[in-house]
Amino acid sequence: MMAKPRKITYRPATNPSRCDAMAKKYDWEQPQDPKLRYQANPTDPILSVNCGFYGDAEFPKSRMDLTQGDADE
Amino acid sequence: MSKLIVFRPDYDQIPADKWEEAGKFTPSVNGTHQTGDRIPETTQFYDYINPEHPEDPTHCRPGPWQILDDGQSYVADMPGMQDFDEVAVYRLGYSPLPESENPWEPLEVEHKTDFAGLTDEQMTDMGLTPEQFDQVRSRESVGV
Repeated sequence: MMAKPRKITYRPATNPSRCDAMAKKYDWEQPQDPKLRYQANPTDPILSVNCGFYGDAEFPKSRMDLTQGDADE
Repeated sequence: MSKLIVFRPDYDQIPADKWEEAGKFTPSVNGTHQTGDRIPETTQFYDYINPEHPEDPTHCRPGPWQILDDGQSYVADMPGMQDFDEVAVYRLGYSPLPESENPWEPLEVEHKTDFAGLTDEQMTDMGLTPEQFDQVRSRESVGV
């Protein structure tokens, strides 16, 4: 089972449609509950929503600068 | 290719006092969500709680609502259905675990707030315009 409902990773975006688009592009699964899919982030004027995804929701590393690779892990 | 997912309650398998909730399941629990090519990988929906801050859950467990079948797919080729290529209909059932066998478990939550290493493409995917890239990249990483 790929989905991991016991972990939710939040990634910021400018609006909820970006959450849906990222889920589709990167093959991340979104929680069923809208409260978890789109968490409002009212203190941020630019990235005003936190998108919830099941599991780790990591960007693929292949096209990234590998010198910055695992800094956040 | 995008798919509209609809959950159709199987009322024979749902207790009468849950019929109203079942009828609301599609809109309220996001049954009309659009998840690209993806079909639901889990047949088991999860419940999430935090007694103090409901919007920021800390615990989870399998919920009572379940997908009962593999779904039926229909090609969405009718006029006016240009937003979707396919409609997938899943049968929805209600089968809660006994309370004693279904404890709330800690939910792991991670907030990705380190923007320095993101590519232009990833920033664009977040909805940012090129003029905003540097401003967002230079933000301090904020802990959870």
